[in-house]
Amino acid sequence: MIEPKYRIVYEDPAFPDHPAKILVPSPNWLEDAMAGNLPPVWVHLQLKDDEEQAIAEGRLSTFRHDEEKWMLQFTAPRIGPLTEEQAMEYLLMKDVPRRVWEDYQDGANRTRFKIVLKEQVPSDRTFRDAWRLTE
Amino acid sequence: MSIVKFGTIQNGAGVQVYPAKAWVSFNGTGTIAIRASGNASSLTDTNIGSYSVNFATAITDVNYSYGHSYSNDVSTQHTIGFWGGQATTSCAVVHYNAQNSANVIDKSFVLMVVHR
Repeated sequence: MIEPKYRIVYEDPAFPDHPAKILVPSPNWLEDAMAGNLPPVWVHLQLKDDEEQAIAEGRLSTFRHDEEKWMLQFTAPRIGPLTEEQAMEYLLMKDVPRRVWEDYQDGANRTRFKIVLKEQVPSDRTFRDAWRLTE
Repeated sequence: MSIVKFGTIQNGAGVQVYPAKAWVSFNGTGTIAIRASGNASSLTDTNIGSYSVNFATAITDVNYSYGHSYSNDVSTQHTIGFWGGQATTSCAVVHYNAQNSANVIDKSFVLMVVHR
């Protein structure tokens, strides 16, 4: 099984006082990504958008995904094999909140996320609450 | 490798069987890492003792159940794991020190399984 080399470190602008979060890829998922078994990332994004709208409207408990959109996860044409680096970019869009990465090019005035080697993530969690991204 | 597609699974007595929708085993201490998983694309370490599992494919709604167990890494004090919230694309857990609920703690083995 492939052991992921990278992690995504990010700060959520919705929670500025929270420590930096660390996203760790699943080896099984990474293997699938590099074998070319993923749907286009927009399939996941539209499901997340629908769910976030339900949350904003206070109806998450009764929300159910549109069946056609949900099935696209399995039926949309696969995008082909990804490198590990491409898979991390896909994962950034899929699993990190949109508000972290969406306006990164145009509107953000500070770094909100970094894709780093796993060795660069502190393993000593003594000061976990103080973890912040540095430029 | 072949893929089997099905709508309903039944055992030999005709009783419906419910396979897991997702599962994960991970180490939540030091360098956080997923050991193995099914239908989990990633794990987010959100804070000490607090983790969120991101599903590779979304569950149809939030009316799923998930089971959660974890190691007892503290030799003198026990910990308690709690449901930390769920969405169709992820679910979360958090672990507290049983003798001091203000203290959260990382776990070296965290095991989760989702059924719907």
